[in-house]
Amino acid sequence: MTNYARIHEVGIENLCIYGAVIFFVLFLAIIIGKKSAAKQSTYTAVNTIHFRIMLIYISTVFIIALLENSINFNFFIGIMVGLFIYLSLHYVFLFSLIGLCRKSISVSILISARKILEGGKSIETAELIKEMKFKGLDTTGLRNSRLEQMTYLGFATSDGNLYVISWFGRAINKIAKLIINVYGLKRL
Amino acid sequence: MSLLITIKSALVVFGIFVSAHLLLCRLTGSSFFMLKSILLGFVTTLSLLGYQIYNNQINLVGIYIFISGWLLYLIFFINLLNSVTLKMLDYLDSSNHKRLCQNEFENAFNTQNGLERRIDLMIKNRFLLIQGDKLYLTRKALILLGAISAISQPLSLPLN
Repeated sequence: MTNYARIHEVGIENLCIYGAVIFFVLFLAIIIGKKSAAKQSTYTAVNTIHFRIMLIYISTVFIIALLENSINFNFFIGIMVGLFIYLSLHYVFLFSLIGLCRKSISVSILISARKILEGGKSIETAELIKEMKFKGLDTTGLRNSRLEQMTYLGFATSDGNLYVISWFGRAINKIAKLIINVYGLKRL
Repeated sequence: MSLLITIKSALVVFGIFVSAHLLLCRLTGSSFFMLKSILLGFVTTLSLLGYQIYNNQINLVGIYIFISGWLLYLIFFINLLNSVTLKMLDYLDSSNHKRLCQNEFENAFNTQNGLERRIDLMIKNRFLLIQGDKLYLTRKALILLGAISAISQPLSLPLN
């Protein structure tokens, strides 16, 4: 391979990698600007924008590679790594942080405790549970939201009151138990 | 270093990390799961970086692939061990007719094994301090709350 060909090849790889980071920054700017995370369905709003920007990213690098006559094996490896970076920046980092803020029971408990303190009261377990209930995050509220999630994910079917496990739910549960057993771990 | 070699080396290091983690969990069980997993991940990342420096081939893409793989793996285990949904799914699967009414899930997630257990765990993990019947937020909890505010504010993310 000539030096020119190698430089050209590295250029295409860099375009895919840095392009992924640049388009992710663009996505971040849009969700901050549009306050998408503040919407009722945070996940749907944020994921829709993320998906659209991903399509623009793929189209952009593909067009540039086409114009540069660089559609080759290195381009496909580059775009695979670029897509991994673009998707992981969202699903591994940002999405987890959003999940932590929106879904974590432990974080909700800490926020409730801080609210009680700010109200000039001292924190007691009963007071904390009362505050969680006020926010709809009491045991019944949490249980019902997780049952809803179970049917949404296809783990079970429901006719409103009766929940029946699906074959998919059974398979997921078997796999989860197998992994826990192989690692010798215990659930919370 | 070509991108393909970078991916291969990151995957090999990730494979070594998973094997070491499996062995560590088998030998020591569930206690301090997070601490052990984070420490092992740090040591592996530093080893990968050290290897690259030794060979004079520093490659941030390789490091990034390993770190994101490691975090994804950790997130998977956190969900596997802590998820209320998975716990309720297991309860439903172990029921006699594989079907339960809404109120029958009370045994799988109630105040005692739900919120109170979480509060106990937070005391054990030093996020809350108990003195008599009063609870106090520790410095660790205040740092975590500060970090969460710092993330949620620019994103306009409402907190529960």
